[in-house]
Amino acid sequence: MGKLLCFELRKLFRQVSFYVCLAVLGAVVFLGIFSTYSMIRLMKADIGLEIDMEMLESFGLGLHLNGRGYLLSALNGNNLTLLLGIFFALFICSDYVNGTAKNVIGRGFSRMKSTAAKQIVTAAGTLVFCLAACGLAFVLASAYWGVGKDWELLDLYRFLIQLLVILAYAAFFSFFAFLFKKSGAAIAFNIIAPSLLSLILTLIDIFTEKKKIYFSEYWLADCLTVSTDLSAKAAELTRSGIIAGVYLVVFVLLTHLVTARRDV
Amino acid sequence: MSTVLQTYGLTKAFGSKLAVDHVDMTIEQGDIYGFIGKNGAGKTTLMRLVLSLALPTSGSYELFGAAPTAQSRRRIGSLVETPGFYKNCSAQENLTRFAGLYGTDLSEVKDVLGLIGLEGTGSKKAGKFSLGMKQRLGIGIALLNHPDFIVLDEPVNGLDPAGILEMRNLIQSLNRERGITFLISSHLLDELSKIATRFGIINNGKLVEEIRSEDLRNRDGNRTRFVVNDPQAAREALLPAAGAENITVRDHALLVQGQTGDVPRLNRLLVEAGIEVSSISHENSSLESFFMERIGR
Repeated sequence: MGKLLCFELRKLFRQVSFYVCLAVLGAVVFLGIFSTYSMIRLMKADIGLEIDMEMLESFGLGLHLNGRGYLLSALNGNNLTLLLGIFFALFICSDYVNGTAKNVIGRGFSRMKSTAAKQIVTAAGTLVFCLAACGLAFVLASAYWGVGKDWELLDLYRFLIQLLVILAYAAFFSFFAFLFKKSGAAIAFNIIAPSLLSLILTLIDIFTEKKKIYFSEYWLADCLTVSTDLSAKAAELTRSGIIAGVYLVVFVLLTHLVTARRDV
Repeated sequence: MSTVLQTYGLTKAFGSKLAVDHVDMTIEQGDIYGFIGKNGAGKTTLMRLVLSLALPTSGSYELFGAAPTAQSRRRIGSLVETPGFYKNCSAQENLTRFAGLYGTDLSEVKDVLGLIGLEGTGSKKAGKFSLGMKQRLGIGIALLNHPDFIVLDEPVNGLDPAGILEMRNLIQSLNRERGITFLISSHLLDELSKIATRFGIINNGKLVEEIRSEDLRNRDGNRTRFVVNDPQAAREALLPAAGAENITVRDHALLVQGQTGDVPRLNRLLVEAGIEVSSISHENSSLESFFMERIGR
């Protein structure tokens, strides 16, 4: 297993697309923060408009406009999940597309261990993406608006739940990459599936008359929104964490089910 | 001699089609086993089963005299269908990655690069290699970690004549010097006949026949061709020694079957009978004709 992990890690860190996706993510984070900073500066300088916290609240920026705020909300939105969907499709399918999976299985490494190694390295890659996005957002936002006050222990919990939700997304993307084995199909599916699922669940909610359950609340997108909402309470975070954990376990197991007896 | 691969009723079905149909195959240590069959006969599927790339529908097999284990699989190198490597990496990086995975000393990478003739490719990406270079890189990966048994599926596909010769020499030297056993499939029967020590013919998923190369050479089809001035008289002269059933007259030649070791005596009999012999040649039954005969064409 150790050799498989080293093999997959070496592959991860030597894959050009890994750095391309990281660079794109960095650019997106930078542009997001820089555009906010520029907008506020322009409003101050050109119009002479005095920006206070109340006004920022009205733009929905109040809680976010510092290092802490950006650190805890950097994973929100579709950018990161989109890049993860693309990257993991490329990373996982590369062994099937290049035929290198044959060199692994044919040499006595079991399908289960090979899949598990990929899943572990996928998780490691996910953490690198998350830490890069959060780290860059924190540094840039702190440089512009300060680190931020009112840090609390809940922030750490919030951050861990966010990581769990993103890991569940990674497991979801990985499953479809293993399923399709073709990078084109996997990328297309990983781009479309999350938003399509959100849309379908929202439609179901709309057309369900007796609403005891809102299905869209049980999808990862909602969990991510809740966990990156700085006003969310611990109970809400826990709920999101449990849902994400269930998705993570289900997709990890489904992946093993798909690969266990399949021809390479 | 120990057995490297033994299959017992190995079967693989895709839906209702049996791609491999109850195959009992034996490969002994030191063999270069030429595996021949038409397209879709089941060669690649059987190789994939042996390598665990596909799982059998029924039947079983043994590797190195025992049920396959992770350890016994580590002793197998393979190149099945297309060579598997990372297109965006150099030959050295590809070999280094797999050397790490197989637990091979990294110093071996340089040796293997030299052995497959890719030591001068530097940082050139493997995806930009010629077909022959890609094939050699695939063989290089198969050679890592000193395998005892190498499975090669159409290894000379896409190679030019010089490449085919190099590949033949490489296989023969690895077999001779390192004692590596080979299972090789190829459509180039003539090429295969030059190196294989044993043949297996598969047709419609069934293993039709296994035969050693010397048995193939010595079978009925082997014959000596005497070109003579009077074939009928020559036939009469050889009847007592060779038997009527073994002598065929064709044009100005006399074909004597199954007498390859007795040519000097037959020649002396002809000369003593006053028959002029202008040439004597040995005719091997070609692998191609044997193959066509066995698959019923």
